[in-house]
Amino acid sequence: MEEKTTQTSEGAAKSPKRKKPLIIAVVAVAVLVVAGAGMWVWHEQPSFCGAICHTPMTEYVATYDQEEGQPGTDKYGNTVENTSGMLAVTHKAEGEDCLSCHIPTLGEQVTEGMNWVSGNYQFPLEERTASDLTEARGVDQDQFCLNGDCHDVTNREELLEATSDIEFNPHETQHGEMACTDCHKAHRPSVMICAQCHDDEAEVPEGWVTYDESLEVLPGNNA
Amino acid sequence: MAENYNRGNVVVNRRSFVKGAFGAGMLGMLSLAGLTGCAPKSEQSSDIDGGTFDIVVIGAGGAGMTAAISSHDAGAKVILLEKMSVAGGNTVCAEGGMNACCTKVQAEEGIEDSVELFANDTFVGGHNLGNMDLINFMCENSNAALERLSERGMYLTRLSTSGGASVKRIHRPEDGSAVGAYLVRHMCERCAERGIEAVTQMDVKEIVTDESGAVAGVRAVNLRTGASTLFNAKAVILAAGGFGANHQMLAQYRPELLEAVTTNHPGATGDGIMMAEAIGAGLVDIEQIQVHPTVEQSTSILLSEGIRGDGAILVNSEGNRFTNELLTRDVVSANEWAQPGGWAYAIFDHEVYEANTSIENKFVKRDLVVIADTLEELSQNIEVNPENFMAALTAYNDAIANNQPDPMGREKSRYPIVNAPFYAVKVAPGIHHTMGGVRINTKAEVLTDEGEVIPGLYAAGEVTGGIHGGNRLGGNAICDINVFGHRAAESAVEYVGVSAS
Repeated sequence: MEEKTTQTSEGAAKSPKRKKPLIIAVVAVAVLVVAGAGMWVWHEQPSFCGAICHTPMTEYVATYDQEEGQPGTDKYGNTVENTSGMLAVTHKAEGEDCLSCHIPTLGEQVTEGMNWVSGNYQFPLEERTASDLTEARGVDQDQFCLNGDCHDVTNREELLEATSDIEFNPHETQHGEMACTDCHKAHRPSVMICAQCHDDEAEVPEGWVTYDESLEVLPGNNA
Repeated sequence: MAENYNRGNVVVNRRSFVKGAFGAGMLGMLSLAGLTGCAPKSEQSSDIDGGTFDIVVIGAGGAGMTAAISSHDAGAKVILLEKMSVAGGNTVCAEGGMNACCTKVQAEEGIEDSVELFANDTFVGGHNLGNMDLINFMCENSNAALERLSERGMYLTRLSTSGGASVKRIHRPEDGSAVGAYLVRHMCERCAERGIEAVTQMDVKEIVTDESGAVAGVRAVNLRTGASTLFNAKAVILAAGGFGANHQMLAQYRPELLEAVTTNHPGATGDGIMMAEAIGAGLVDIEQIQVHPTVEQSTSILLSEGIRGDGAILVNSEGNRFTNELLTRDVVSANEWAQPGGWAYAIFDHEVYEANTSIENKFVKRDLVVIADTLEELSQNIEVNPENFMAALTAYNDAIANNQPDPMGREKSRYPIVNAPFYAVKVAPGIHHTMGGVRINTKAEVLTDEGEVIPGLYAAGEVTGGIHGGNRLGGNAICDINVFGHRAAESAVEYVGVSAS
């Protein structure tokens, strides 16, 4: 950039006619930089995600744009009695935005962009699991939530301890380890999976749904 | 059951302006392309590709996980699909233990058993209806299955008595815990350690075959998204369980069971049987449904047969004993139904309580147990006639003390009820096991009604029929899943032609 400026001033002294394309170039660069900067700021806003790349993401952003503890809607457009079971809403209340969870990597964005251009960007509304959301970053799926930064726990043992005051501690893995996102949902009510069988022990938290209720909302699900 | 991804991609530091401006420029270009380019592809109407495997196992209960582990260990690329949100199936509900004969544990206790005796007990207990080839195969391989469990870190070393068994044959976890939860927890870990791919909430709807009728894969609905997914495989091991939680299906064969409580997990709906039938599998003994005599009715929680095996007796609402408690499940259930109200109290003492952790974990916690310091007090608390109750208990205890025959003809597990405190749990019969299912041979190959093998289809566990005949003995289901889960893997591995590296 510095080099160009030098050339420009030299050029201006030699011939006024050659000035025009150089000014255009300078303006173009300036516009690109400003646009890039603006883009950079804008792309961290939820409105960006829904507007540019992820056209079908409007419903996701809509779930984010809700207040805690109110009736609302999920990403499928179903009515939700209480939005507090959706992590998009509760995390927003804590000041988080899309990129707090959907942490992009360049490789991932380019791949998605290429898929978009080629028409291979599949199932925009298909639910993403913790492993989908951490795959590109190359970290273990547990680190999606249990990273010490977001929550004050860094592993399963600490998680088990953190909820040990619940009589039926849902984080005790009797049936093999599950992903956080099996129960904790962001853009639809979280699901109390334990209560599918342990219905007299496992409490369904405020705003959450039972497993059977969770199946009713899925598109194209004939279960 | 969780999968890990460790792809090494560069993470963008989103506070870096230079990279950010580049990224934004890229995004800007892409957005233009996006506005003018193609709409995103939507394939809701067709299948997502679930991948290609040597073997697909349907159902992550005990049979399915055994099959997956054995397939994997033999070198096959295997995937385990489970429609429920967690692994376990009906296995995780199993209270008692695993029947096996000629085992080290039996030898240490001086128990003389044989394949013939075990097979005969199974056949007779099943009303002479079982397939003798399958029964013999299970009994012959029971000790090997128990040894395999040990090799995989599961130790069933506590020997006990179970209904219909001529000798002490049921092997339980050393710590007295329920066998099912113990096995499932360990099997889940063994699958995870091996990196076996396992997907929950993947509801298999169809076994896909090619033009020749051979298995080519399965089609499933992903219950997280509702999307149809196709898994390609030359062999499928069906381990999808029975139909003890499908009241409509049960009532087709036993109309009186339409309203009965069930001890089965809610996923035991017979899908596997229907899927196999749809591609020509034959069914055997499908009308044979087991009702368990000691089910707590408000919660459908099973009071294990092992608790009677450890010394519990049954009294009716009048305080009288009415049966030899260690007859087979069908007979004890029928005797119980014949009592006033069709229910009974299981009575036991502290020694039995201590030997069975499930009493504390499942019954005491839920306030389903009446506890008293004396037998008289217990009879008052459960509101049965105290004279009848005391007479029944005295007769039972005295006969043991005096080495006399039991008044109800009980021959095994006669332990006096004398150690306070005393316990009572109200029970009645509940649906427990579906003996019938898909027809298999001793290679766990699924057969048509005509006895022809369906190429590439294998089955194990409660989804199959023929082993338990008209009544399954306590401890035989855990034996079945371990023997035939492994057998199905052996046969499938041979069929797909992989070899361990």
